[in-house]
Amino acid sequence: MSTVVAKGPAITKDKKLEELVDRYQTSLLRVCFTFLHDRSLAEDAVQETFIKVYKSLDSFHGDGSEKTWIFRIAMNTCRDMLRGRWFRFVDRRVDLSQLPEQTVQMETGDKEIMTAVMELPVKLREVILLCSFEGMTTYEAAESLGITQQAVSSRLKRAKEKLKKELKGKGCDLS
Amino acid sequence: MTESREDERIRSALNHIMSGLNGNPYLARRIIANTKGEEPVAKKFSASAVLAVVLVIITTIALAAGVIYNQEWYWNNRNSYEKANRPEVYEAIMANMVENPEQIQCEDDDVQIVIQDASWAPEANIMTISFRATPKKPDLDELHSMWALDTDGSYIGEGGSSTVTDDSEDRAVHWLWRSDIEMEDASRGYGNIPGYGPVADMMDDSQKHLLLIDYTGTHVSIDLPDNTAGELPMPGSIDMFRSTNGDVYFVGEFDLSSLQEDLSSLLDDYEQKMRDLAKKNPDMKDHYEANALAAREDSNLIGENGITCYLTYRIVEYREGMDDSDLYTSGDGRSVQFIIRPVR
Repeated sequence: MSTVVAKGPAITKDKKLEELVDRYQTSLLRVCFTFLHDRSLAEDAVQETFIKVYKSLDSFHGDGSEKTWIFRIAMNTCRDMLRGRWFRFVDRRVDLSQLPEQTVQMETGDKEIMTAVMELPVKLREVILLCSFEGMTTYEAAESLGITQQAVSSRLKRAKEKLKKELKGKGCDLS
Repeated sequence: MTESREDERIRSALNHIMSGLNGNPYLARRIIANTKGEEPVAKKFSASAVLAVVLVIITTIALAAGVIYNQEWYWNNRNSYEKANRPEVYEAIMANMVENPEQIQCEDDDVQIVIQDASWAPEANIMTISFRATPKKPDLDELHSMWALDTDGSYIGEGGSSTVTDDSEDRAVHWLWRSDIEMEDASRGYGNIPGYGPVADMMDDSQKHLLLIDYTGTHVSIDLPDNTAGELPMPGSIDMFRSTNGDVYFVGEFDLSSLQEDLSSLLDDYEQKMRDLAKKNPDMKDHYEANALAAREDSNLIGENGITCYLTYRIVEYREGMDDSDLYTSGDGRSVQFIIRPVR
């Protein structure tokens, strides 16, 4: 006798978006802020990203991970904001005062590390954010950025060398 | 220190600093409603100390010579955001506009700066100015904005790729972006004008010297007794663009809301200084107390005689292979002083 297993209702597109927003919004916001140096731009970028995600949900077939797919959209959105047809002239200085007050205990060197990451050249900043901050593998970061794994590894190495050099000059390090 | 511990340190530092930065709990609902046409999802524009100015690169036919790229043109063409979304701000800017304010430029052999117009609009908490920079030796020099150098952020200097390609890899060579007004859409890409590419390729005439103008700040000068003055920096957002006749234009939008607080702090410091001097010189106590009182009584940001401002800038002569510290720090100390008088 065959057994028919009743499947639950397919998850709706709206529900899926809510799940994805719930899961990724905060980390996307922090990545976009560190990338763009501006809180309002970061909020725009996150919003744009999820609009694109929602519109493409039907065409995402699960080839590649959900996280790399969403971050790929986010990184492309951030890059578009930095150059291309839309030029936004933002102050290149790092301004952490636009961030809301911290809700956790800070450690010595936190601010210096954050500033140093934000001051990295764009291409190096991208890999630090995806690999060191988001914990992606070089494979996942390569998928998100649309570059080779070797390029990710090479940029990551250069990024950390630059960070260590910068932090040494400020009397701190990555320990 | 293993690699994973370095990653962990970076992660913890960034999460600590951004621990207050969290998502919007209503974002999903807004996006869904917007996609279904029920609710517009408004884009924010930065309200931070230095605002982001959205530039619309318009596709136009070449404009006839003689177009004046002043604020009248700017707020109606290149940046129509205020007019479309904050008409009260736009109206305040236009209503308070003063053309060709009194001004004096420092000695500068390279570039002539003309402050075209200025608008002091406290009712909208805003001051705006525009200037035009013209090379004094156009046969020898070609002027561009410093913002046009490495606009994509891919220049990393030593360690970057020196192979010139169309792909935006990390670069060891500087690239120049050409998106002059009157040109077509600048997204045509590498090696095309408008577009982007190695500096020499993107100049109109690579035999000329490339001069880069870099805006470095605007300050308001406050007169104090005893022929002294205090300076208050003006935070704001800027836009710089170039016209095909070789001039570089600047439009600055400055937030006045913090200026009054800064003025109060300046006067507090001045009063304290006078009290300290009075203590050290008791026989001149009356004089210093009178100074402190006069500073308070006379302090208005803008009075009948107007307000004196200083705009500072750098001019750097770009040379291929030059040291980056020279590129980013030399040529400093130039300024234009101008006076904005109240319209009414």
